[in-house]
Amino acid sequence: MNNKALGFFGERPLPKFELAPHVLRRRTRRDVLLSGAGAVAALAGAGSLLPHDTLTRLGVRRNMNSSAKQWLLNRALRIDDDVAETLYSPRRTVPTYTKSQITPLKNNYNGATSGFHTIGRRNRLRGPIRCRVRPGLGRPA
Amino acid sequence: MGRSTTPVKEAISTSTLLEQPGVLVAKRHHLLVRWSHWLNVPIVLGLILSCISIYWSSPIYQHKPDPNTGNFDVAADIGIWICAHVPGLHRYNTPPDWIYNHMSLGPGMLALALRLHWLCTYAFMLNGTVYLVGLVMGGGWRGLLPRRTDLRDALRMFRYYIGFPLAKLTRRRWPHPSFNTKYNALQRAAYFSVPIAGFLSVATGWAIHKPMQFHSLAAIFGGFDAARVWHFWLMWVFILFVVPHVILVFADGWDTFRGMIVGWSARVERREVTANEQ
Repeated sequence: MNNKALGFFGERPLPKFELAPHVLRRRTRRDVLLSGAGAVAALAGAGSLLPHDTLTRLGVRRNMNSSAKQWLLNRALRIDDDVAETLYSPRRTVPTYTKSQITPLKNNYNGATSGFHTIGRRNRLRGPIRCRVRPGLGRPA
Repeated sequence: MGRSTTPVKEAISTSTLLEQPGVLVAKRHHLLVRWSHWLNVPIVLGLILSCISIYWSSPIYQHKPDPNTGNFDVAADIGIWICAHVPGLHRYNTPPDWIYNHMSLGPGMLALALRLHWLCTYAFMLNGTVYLVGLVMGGGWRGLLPRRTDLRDALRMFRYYIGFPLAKLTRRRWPHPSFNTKYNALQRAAYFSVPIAGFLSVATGWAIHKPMQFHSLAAIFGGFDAARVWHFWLMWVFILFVVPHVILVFADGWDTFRGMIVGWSARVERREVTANEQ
């Protein structure tokens, strides 16, 4: 059946060709080995991106925090910032709430988990910081 | 997944042709489709693990806080139940964290999980585009389109899968239904649905991530909270797809698995080619 008879959406028969058995074996071996090597590299690369605590739980004792890992994760954040900036519109403002609508913010298990408090913690900002200051809103404190 | 050509016994020439002068092979998957398929494995795994870690910080499914523990998270309840009933887990240190320790990056990792989730999200969108380009370039998209006979063919495949274990046990012949298409109806339904689920995951993800900028998108899914529910269950669509997908690929044999690596399949009938050539 030709393609015209099958129409635009009609499924075409799969293209077929003949190969010598040794060529087929060689190509299979090459592709499977390359894919295997790629899979190991991808597994190692993706695994190293996991947080330190997760890796420790999985039994990895080595410190996998590298500058390349931080660079990649920061790059994704930067792209995300750029997307947010591109989507910015002065006509849209964040919703505001009355004081009565405020509810206490608790982490999981009704705030029972420990070790995530911010009291006494000091954060340091590094790197270039871009911000837009709109007139009339005053200077940031 | 299950093969869609005539059963091996009936085939005139299959991979057993290795002894013969030439082996007939059919080109099945475009290079870009194969690449994006394998790249999806670490990307989707990263998305799922980080997704459940993000879920921990604000669970969708909650109940009134337990008076003793303060727990309101249903996923934590499941963890507690597992530790109480599964032998060997009675001494588990933090039963409420069992689900999060085994299905996510871990509890209390919101910031780290969000960073990884965004990295994987951008990679997922890029990879999805590569997949679509591969589908168009290789013409594989035509094989995924639903058709009128799908319901009947899907029932035939269901019957085959249901009867297969019993036929194996009783050593009875249980022939695979034959189709002259690349995929059978069940495969087609699965492979057609997964890209749609991927698109919806991205759309609901943006609705949650940028609810100000994409408030109209969030509204389509029923608002911010409903978009979270959609996003959560779309993750389960992926999990529920992957499990049988992997099992059936291994059950179907080396040719199917190899096909996604090398791009071609040796499960071709010479009779079919002769018919096409005439």
